[in-house]
Formats: sequence, structure tokens, C-alpha cells
Amino acid sequence: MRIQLVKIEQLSGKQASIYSVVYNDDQITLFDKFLNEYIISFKSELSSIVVRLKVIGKKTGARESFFKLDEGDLGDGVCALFDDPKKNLRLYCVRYGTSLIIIGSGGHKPKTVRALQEDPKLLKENLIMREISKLIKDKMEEKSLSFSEDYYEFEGTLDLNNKDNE
Amino acid sequence: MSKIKPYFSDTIDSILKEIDPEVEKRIEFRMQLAAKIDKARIKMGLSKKQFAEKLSKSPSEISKWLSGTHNFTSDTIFVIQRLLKVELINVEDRPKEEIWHFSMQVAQEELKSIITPGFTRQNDFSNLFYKSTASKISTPEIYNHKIVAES
Repeated sequence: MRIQLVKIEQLSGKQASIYSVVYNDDQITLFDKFLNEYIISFKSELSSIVVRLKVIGKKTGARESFFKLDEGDLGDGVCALFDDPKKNLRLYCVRYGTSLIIIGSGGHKPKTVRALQEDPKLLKENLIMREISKLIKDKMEEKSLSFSEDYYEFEGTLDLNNKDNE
Repeated sequence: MSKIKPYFSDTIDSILKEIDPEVEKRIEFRMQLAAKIDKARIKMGLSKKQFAEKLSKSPSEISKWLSGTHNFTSDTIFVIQRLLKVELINVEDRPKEEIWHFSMQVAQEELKSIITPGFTRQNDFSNLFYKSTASKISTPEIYNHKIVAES
């Protein structure tokens, strides 16, 4: 796996930095792929997600209550943007406190699906975020990647390779 | 060391350009309201569970309230305000800020009249003290100033 961490300027602000990742040989971020995938079917829901992320970046910060926590492995920060049970989409993120999040992808959450394991698409996107979180943790332990002093940015090598997959 | 790579998304740009500003403001308002409630809850030292119990609600309902997606009724806001002792929505005719400025203006005039020999007040606010809401807040402060100035 190879990822590149990028900061989304349109959503980031004084309260939080919103990052996404360019995954393997893609040209666009996981979040852009998510938007492109559902823009036709769920436009108004996507607009709401984009605005909520912008408010997080510029006004409120990534408060814990805005997310469904513990969507990944223990302590890996993988969570989902809080979604109303009536809504159709789920977006997975990795949250690092209130000042930095990485937004990934997600999928359609049919009403019949109760756990993500029941839906292959949701499971796939969730596992990608777990992998990303693990890779970031490993790079931080290797000291090639770190948080800035104020915890608003990543610093260091932002092109990350998982050697196991090379 | 790599610098942060800024990324500009055309898709995000087109979504933000197309969204109705009224809808955007409404989402922003809901999230800021939820954040304000959550801050007040934390300040009061209540866990989400305790907060739910005090309001006779389920934890999942509280999670929804604090998620920034909920459309509160005025009755719910009233109950939360009373419990957390926080002003979420100000229904007074006169905004608090205006009351504060008014109070400061009165206080300044009061002080000047006490400490400046020959100073004549520009405005006489004495009648307003007992008529306006401001007087309830400002009067004790003004008397405090008076005591300090006189001692």
C-alpha cells in the first residue's frame, strides 16, 4: 500500500485540519472518489456532509460528539461521521483529537444493514481506513512522520509506503 | 521533510458553490448549537450517561442531540438551558451585548461625576435604572464603582 497525505484547503480552517489520502496509483483522494461515486444518487446528502466537514474545519473543530467512534480496531481512531439513521451514506474517518482528521471513503448504508461486516463495500472502505491508521502509527513510531507542535498538521514524509506490500 | 501538500478538489468546489447559503447556515447553526450544549455539559462535569439520566432520555438520543444533526424544539432547548445553566438562545428584546455597553456607559458617567470636580453628566440615566432590564444587571456594579471611588 502506498498513500499520500494531502490537506484539503477548502474544508480546513482555524479549528481543524481536514486531510484525505491519495491511495496507491489514484489521481484523486479517497474522499473525492466517494463524492464522485454518490453525487448523482445522493447529492443533497453529500452536500450536507461537505458543509459539515467545512464547519468542523472552520468553526467547531472535530468534536468527539460529531462522530461515531470505535469503528475500527482498538485505539486506532477510525470512526464515521455521525449519520442520522434516516440517511443513506456513511463516511469513514481517522480522528486525531479535535484538530486533525483524515477523511476517507464510505458507502451506501442500506436500511437492512446493521453491522458493517454485512456490507462488502462498507467493510472494504472501513478496512482501508484501518490500514491507513496503522501505517501512520508505524511511520510515527519510526519517526519519519509526526504531528506539528500544535497538533494541527502532519510533518515529515507524507508519502507513506507499507514495506510489507512492496 | 515534505511540506504539507495543499489539495484543491474541483468536486468539493462545485458542491460548495451550488449549495443554498440558507441550508449551509442552518447546518452550521445546528452544529454550533450542539457544540455549545456539549461544552456546557462538560463544564458541568456531566458524562453523557448522567446528562441522559437527568433528562430522562436514552444515551442514543443524547448522541443524536450532540451530533450536530438534530433539530431541537424550543421546549427541549428550554429544558437544556435550565439543566446546564447556559443561555443557548437569547429571547430578550435587547441583546446582552447592548445591555453591557449601556451599563458601561452609565457606569462611566457615574464615575466621572464622582471623581471629576465640576463635571456635569451628559445624560441622566437615573430614571432608566428602574425601568430597563439593564438596571437589574448594572446597578450593583455601579454601586461597587461608587464605593471604590468614594473610599
